[in-house]
Amino acid sequence: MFENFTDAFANVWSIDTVVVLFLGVAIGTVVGAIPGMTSVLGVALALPFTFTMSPVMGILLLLGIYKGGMYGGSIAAIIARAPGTPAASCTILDGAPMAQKGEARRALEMALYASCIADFISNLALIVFAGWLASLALAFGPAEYFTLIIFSLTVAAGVAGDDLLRGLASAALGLMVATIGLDLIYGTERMVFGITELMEGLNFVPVLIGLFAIPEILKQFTKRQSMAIEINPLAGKSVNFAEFRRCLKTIFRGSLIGVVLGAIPGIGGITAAFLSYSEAKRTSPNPEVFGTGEIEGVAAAESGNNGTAGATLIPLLALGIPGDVVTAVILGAFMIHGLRPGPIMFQENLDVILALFMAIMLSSLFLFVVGKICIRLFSRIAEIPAGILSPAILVLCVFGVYSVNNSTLDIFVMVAMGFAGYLMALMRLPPAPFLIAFVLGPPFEDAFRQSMLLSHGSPSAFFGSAVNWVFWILTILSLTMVARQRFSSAPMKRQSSVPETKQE
Amino acid sequence: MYLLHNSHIRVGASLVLLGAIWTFFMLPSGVVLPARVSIPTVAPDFWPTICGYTLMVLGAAIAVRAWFGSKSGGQNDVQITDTWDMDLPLREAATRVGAAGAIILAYTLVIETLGMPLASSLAFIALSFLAGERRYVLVISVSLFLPIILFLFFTRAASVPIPLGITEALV
Repeated sequence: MFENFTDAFANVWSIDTVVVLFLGVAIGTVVGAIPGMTSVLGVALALPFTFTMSPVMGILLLLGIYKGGMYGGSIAAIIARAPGTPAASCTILDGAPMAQKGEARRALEMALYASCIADFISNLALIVFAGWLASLALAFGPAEYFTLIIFSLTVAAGVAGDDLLRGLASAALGLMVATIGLDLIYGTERMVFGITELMEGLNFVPVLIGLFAIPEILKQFTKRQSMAIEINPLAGKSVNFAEFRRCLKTIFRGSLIGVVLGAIPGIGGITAAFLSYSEAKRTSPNPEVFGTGEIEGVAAAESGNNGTAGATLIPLLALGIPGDVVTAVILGAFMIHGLRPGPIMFQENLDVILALFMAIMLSSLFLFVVGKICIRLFSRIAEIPAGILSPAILVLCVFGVYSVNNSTLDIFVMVAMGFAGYLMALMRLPPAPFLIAFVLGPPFEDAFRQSMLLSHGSPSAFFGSAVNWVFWILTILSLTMVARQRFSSAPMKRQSSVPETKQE
Repeated sequence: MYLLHNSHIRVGASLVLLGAIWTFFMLPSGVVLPARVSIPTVAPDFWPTICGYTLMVLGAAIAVRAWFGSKSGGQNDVQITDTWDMDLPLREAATRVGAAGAIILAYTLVIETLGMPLASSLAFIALSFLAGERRYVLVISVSLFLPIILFLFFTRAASVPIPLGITEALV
């Protein structure tokens, strides 16, 4: 144990690691500040650049981008009224009116303070709960993993889009694509059609980048060039201590909401931000000022959103289950570096886990520094024209995808997945369940087949333990809740003319 | 005729069709089965078959729900383009997306012949102009600068042999 601590310490406290984490937070903030660039896209584009790094450095770069992206989204939301990331859409409600009133600086600073505090609390929750959950998961067998993945997929499919059936269909497509390659038990080919490069299955990186970057590039061609931003980000006064103290309770409440919702696979920052906002409004003595430029609204939205940042890593590190698309990408990064998150990793690679825990606490501090120094600079980034940005992203994608295996087939896979992703967007099939199912597909099938082998083909294997039953009940409950939520919100949607929020 | 106009029914039908093609045409020809399988549920084609049937069932459910939803005057018969956040006229947007798709496809096809840096520069210029960017100096500068920087990073720092095609003699 002591050896693991010293190894972890040596891993983290090197200048390279600290610089990479800082760079990650800065890149993430830039990416988040650009409307149309999501933190998913940022993490996906950075993934090929991590191949030459050590596992800890590579993962920290991605985590830095993820966390920076969550805050960066609020910059464009406040200044340009265009959420840089989907989760920042709640910040618009009060952030944009504040900017219109000449209080952009206060809004941006409060967003930064709320983000940093929520991120710190979320990181603490990760450190406290991940190990505990991993120790529970050590008792899981293949049947328990099978039911756990079913639960995760149904939750992810249910909350990713505006339609449970479409989410599930998207997940089914992801599971189908994940079966391409050699069969692991019999060693026979599945959907390979004589292409030897396909025997290992479709590579994760081209599928990911194709699914998330190419459709975004194509969508830019359905829009007019973006307009210049007229708001000065340094306009108005700073946040004073009395205001900060007034919002502190809201920030803590939002952080806790973010932690709880972030730890549940599939929920994500959007739900947490809106729930935190509605709680702040409900408990406020002046609920009528929310939506007109109330600083507490910005604090609530940003703390809820950023409260999920560390917590989404709890199921990832403890169970190997990605809570959202970004953590699915990070899971892919772990696998590329030869690591498999889950309870076994806490035993075999504890030094890596501890190094991540140590470094992740630094990310909150770096977020504060980056945000404080660079608000003005990052706000200008939102002005990059789509005519330059989209082609640049495409070129980055092509170089990055090629570098994974030095294979042009991967570029074709990326483009094919991109066109498929665009078609899915037209059909309103959310891409997140597809990707999560694609990542979880192989372990899902393995768990199923191992259970079948152990039980000699009897399905009773999936009902043999209390853990199985817990996950079955949770699956049924989550499906029922999502269905009921959709059913009850349908009449409201018919009357509403508010455009739907883009899902990450 | 009504069926053709309801986009949700079309989506559901497309998913059913895709699931059927996968299950009944692609799996029999694409999955090599071992001579003997002791437990049928462990066979190489069992899991992909389950996925195919699941997709068909979900597609059918989407179509049926849209059918009954529209009959009861619900929102399920809206056209997908009604919620698609494009701000150009549909025909113009479709043309531009089609052209961008063609450029991306051509880009991937000429990478090995022209080399990745040159192909990237040309694709960048074509896509920039298609997007309406008319600052020629900026476009040309970025189209040269970005592929060269990426080429240098991947070849020097990451030791990735980037294909150079006809430009190999220049480097």
